[in-house]
Amino acid sequence: MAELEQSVIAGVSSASQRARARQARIDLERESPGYWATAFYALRRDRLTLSAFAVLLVMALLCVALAGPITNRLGVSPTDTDPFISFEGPSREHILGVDEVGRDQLARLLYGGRVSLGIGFFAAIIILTLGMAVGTLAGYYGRLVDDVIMWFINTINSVPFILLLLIVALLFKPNATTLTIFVGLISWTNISRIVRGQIFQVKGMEYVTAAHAIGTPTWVLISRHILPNVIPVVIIFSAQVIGGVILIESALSFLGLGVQPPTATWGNMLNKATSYFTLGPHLVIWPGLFITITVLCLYVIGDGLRDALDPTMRGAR
Amino acid sequence: MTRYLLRRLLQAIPTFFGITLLTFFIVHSAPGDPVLQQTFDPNISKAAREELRRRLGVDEPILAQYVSWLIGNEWRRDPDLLPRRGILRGDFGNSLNEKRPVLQMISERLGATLLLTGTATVIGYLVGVPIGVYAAVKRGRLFDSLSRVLSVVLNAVPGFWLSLVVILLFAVKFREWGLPAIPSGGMYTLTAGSSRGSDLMDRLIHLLPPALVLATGPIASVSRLMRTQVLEVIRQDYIRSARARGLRERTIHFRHALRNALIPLATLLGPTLTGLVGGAVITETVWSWPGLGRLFVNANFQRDYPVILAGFVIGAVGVILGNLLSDVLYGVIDPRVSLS
Repeated sequence: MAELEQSVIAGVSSASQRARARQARIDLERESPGYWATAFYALRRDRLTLSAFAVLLVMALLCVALAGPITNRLGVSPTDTDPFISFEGPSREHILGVDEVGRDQLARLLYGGRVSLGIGFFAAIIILTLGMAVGTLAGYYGRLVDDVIMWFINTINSVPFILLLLIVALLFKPNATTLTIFVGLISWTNISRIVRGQIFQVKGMEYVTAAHAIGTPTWVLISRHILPNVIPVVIIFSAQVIGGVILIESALSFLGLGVQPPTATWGNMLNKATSYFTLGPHLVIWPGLFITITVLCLYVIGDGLRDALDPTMRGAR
Repeated sequence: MTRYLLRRLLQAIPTFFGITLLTFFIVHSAPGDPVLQQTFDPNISKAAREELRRRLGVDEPILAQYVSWLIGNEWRRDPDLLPRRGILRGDFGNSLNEKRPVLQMISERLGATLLLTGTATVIGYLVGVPIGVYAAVKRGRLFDSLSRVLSVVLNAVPGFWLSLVVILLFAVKFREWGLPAIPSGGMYTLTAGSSRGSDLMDRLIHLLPPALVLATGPIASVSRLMRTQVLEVIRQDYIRSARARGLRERTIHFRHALRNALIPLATLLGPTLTGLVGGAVITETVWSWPGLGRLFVNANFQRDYPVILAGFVIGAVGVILGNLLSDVLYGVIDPRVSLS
């Protein structure tokens, strides 16, 4: 800095001085690390969130990519039945034991995880997309559009969620794909509410008014100037939404109304668990443990994302 | 205050109609024929079936059926129709399965559900508040971290699985090991002794396990909210004055800070009740608790449409009233909030 001034004042221009001056100017003009860089930096130092992410990654890898190779290696399959060994506990061939018809529990957990995680992930995509779209509509246009949308949201929110899901599941006998779509179609309301509120806030800011005044088209106004403010909120909620969907799916499948056997999910593996307490306690423990670990990781990640992305939360802990 | 209440009630009306519309049309798009379902007996003639169809009014246009379900069917002026008074006048029709008024079935089971969810709410607040306050007082220490971990874990454990594990351990395994075991379900022992004291104990031991499991949700959310609220409140000036006056820390936290930190709990009451209604559906099923949730789940399996519809409407009214109650409470407790 001082060197820069000196060189300017004195008009000295040796090569090294000029280089140093240029470097100083670059340092001056360098932008402060942006929002995302700071967030990423905070996230990288958050060990709890990172380990949750690692556990989740391992879980996803095991279920999605390695389920086939692992079961092949162990010589088990999620569908092969063997009534002679039903309810048998852990053994050499069947590491986590077998279920009521002699299917290998580990294989079913891995393949079931594929379905459970898949439903959670894809339903969350639907929820976040729909929630963002509807919330943006309501928040940006306000007035009548907002009234109608809010009326709809309030209506859906007033019905206990599980009742709605029960009846829809009962009526339309869903498989994994349709269940994903149903869950997605009825759970977007909370996200939209949050997005709507956020947009109301941003819409009133001067720079948006300015952009509007110079004739920016609505589409550009929304996508370039307003939506980027909403993205962090949506990211914060994404992990939580996936976890929530996994919980909901498991509860529904536990009641026998979700994904139907023989397709395994962590929830429907527990469907008959109430009658297995004495016969096969291992069948009660494992699926629930997998659900809990997965959802726990997702919630911890959600917390971590909130801390990293919400500037007011930084350093709050 | 009265004006605010009136306005909120008026606002609830369109929501209520939205719910009736939504649920009625979802249930009516269900496959299956309620008449065939009731006349499964092959001896019943086709003519008799048509007769029943006519009398139940299921051959009418769907909008007419909706209106009849809502306000009764006198307006049709059709002597063939079985008289209905409509849900607005408290007539939810007859159960297809048990052939008796739905409202009667619901009133029989309402008490059990209120008992379970009420106990769970009380436990949730009684346990959650002290944990939250203490965590805020000991901010950054071990207890704080533990309470944070606890609340995240309680949120992540599926309620039905927690119930299963509790039953497996405390009911099944304890009995195997010869330890005092809890019952694995129901509201009381069917062969309960006649003495009054043991009867109460019997009811408590049946009530507490499911209520505790159900309370995990409220415990997690209440303790977290309390922690942030107390942290918020102890930064305020009046707490500093209290400290300057030389009051003891405990007095400051539990007398001065707690009062104001408690206020936002009122807003949590609505969502808590909603969550409990949902949780009760699952918990009642696992613990064979004879409440509304189990009635609804069974009605779903038996495709008992009048019961399903009634479940929706009553659940929704409960949620609307719960939210209204928590908003009004908020205004009553906190004079800074103006309700108009």
